[in-house]
Amino acid sequence: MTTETTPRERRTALRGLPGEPLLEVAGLEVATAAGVKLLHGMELAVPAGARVGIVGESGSGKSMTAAAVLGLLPDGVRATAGSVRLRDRELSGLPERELRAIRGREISIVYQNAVTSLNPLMPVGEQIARVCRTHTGVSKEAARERTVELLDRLGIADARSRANDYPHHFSGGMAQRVAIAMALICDPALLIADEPTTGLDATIQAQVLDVIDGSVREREAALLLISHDLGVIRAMCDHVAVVYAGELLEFGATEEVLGNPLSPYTAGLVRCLEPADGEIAYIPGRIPAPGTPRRGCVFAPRCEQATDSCRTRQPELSELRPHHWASCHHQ
Amino acid sequence: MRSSSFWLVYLGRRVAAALLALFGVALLVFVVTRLLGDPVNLILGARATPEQIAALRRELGYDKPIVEQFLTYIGNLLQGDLGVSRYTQLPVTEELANRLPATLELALAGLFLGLLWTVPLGVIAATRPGGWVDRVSQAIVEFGVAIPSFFCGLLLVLLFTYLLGITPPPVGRLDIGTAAPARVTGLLTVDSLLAGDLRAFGSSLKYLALPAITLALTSCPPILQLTRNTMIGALRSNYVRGARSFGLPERTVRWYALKNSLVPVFTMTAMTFGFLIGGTVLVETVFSWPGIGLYAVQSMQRFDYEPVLGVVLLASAIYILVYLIADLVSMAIDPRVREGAS
Ligand SMILES: Nc1ncnc2c1ncn2[C@@H]1O[C@H](COP(=O)(O)OP(=O)(O)OP(=O)(O)O)[C@@H](O)[C@H]1O
Ligand code: SF4
Ligand SMILES: [Mg+2]
Repeated sequence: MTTETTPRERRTALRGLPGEPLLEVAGLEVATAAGVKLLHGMELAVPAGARVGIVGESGSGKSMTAAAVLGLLPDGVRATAGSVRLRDRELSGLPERELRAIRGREISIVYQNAVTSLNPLMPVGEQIARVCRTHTGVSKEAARERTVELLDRLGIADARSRANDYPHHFSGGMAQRVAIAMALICDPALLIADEPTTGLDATIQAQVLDVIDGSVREREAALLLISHDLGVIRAMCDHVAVVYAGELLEFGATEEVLGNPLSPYTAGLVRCLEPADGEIAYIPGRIPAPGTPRRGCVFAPRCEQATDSCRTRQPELSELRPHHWASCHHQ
Repeated sequence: MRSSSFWLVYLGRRVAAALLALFGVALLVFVVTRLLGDPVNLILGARATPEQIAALRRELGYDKPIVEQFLTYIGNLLQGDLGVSRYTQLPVTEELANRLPATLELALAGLFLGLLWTVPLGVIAATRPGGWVDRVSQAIVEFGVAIPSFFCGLLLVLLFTYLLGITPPPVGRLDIGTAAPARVTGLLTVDSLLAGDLRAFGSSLKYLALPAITLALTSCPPILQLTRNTMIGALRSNYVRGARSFGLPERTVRWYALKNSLVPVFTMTAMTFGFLIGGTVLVETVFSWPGIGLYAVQSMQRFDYEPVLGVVLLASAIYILVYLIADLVSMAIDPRVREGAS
């Protein structure tokens, strides 16, 4: 036994949020086999029953964070440091068997483009019931009843017979409901939704988000919603995490963060995602490719307020206002 | 599930298409064999008198117009008559019935052994592309594809018969002193088991081993490649990621992936079997295996065209049948194929 504190036992800087802590990600580093880092000390906190959004440009590591939480990193990608805690349990380094018991049971995920994330050769009801039986050991009939009931509650008309249909029989929005049913069948404490409505019609998007919102509230489950749509984040999430190039740059209550951003990156993101009338805004430059050497603030090359200290010293994530964290030298 | 009338219509359509295809094959082979040259001169040689030639032409029906010859042939065909081999003086149907089981036994054994090594290796290779199983199986695949089947057969005979003395010399299907079991299926391994004759079974197995291994090695590598590649794709697919993220056991996840790879693998297997039926010629020649391939080659050398036509038609019919079975299996596995069939 060593008494040395490993980085895995580090706690997140985002402490003191109201509510029981449910998910805490601290100092999470993820790298490819070649040693290229994709996440650089990611931080995240989701209190029980809370609804947290993640925003950030494409490639900033939103999906990678979700994958790391589930312990389902792509082939060749590994978590090299940091901690993922679910309640009092450290998940990083858990054997696959124990992680499997958590996936779909305590933490579930819905992906973009649900039709393809279902097995094309199996009726959807059977797939949902199988998840149920894998985790709870209820009888076949009971699992089936539960499935039909849930499909019905999620707004699938004629659920009993639709359960016998195959994934390709469902439209995008309906398939997404099926995927949500699969995610919720075991009443998880946390639902992760990774751009769940990208690619759907606007009206269908609203319906699907409504289904997610309603069913999460009803179960008092927590929601971690990844989205490019700040309007959706404002409407659905009480907290928001702003990530950039594999780091968390800002975290806090949604209105606070998006209304009074501390990080110039957040301000830029809000301006370009919700431009004022007649304005076309963008953040000059682009997100650094993975493997680009880092010195100082990762956003400095694109930041209008960058100074010499920004370029040499990395800012630390700190609670600059009550329950509002950011990593920036100039606040 | 579709109603039984759907299946009747579907099967009816497939059978009609198959008959049409067979007619096309018959026409093609008929024309080609006739274009190869008038066999009469070849049979009788340069010293034949014109009277002899004319007599033989009349006897073979070659004096009639070619369209009439073809129509006669098709007419006989419809009555199950494939003509008579001029060399053996036996009806072609009888010869085929005698020889087809040998080819079937060889092709089935080759395919069985082929599936036995290719599918599991492909699946294991796919779970670790670039791993040692993958590299070893790629090496075997390259060997099997690069080496001609007859040469592979000769190598095996050299190794196992002449150097190690494990297998009998490559002549036929059974030891000379061993009586053939009562004919039920015509497959000696099966018939000897049915008769409870273990001696005959062992003997037939020994003779079957090398030609079957030859086929398994040289004809089945594409099945391995396809299994490996579709399996790799399936394991990277969204539904596999989905199944994993719901905590389904890895066994179930792999089964999802495998089941999704089965349709292309099954189609490839059917193609391989068709190829084996028509393509065992070289292997049958090396091992003096009394199948339809050897029969076709020998008849060809004797300018005895009726048997050649018969073999080609039979092989095509089997090929079409196997393809139909493969399609039915695909429909059973994949609802999208099923719905696409209507
Ligand atoms: N399998 C992989 N191997 C190596 N690098 C990867 C892999 N998958 C993603 N990446 C890289 O990891 C980084 C983070 O990707 P991620 O998918 O998490 O982005 P994202 O924030 O979800 O973006 P988007 O909004 O486009 O979904 C990107 O630079 C991406 O190129
Ligand atoms: S630390 Fe400096 S460069 Fe980084 S965001 Fe703040 S002001 Fe910009
Ligand atoms: Mg993503």
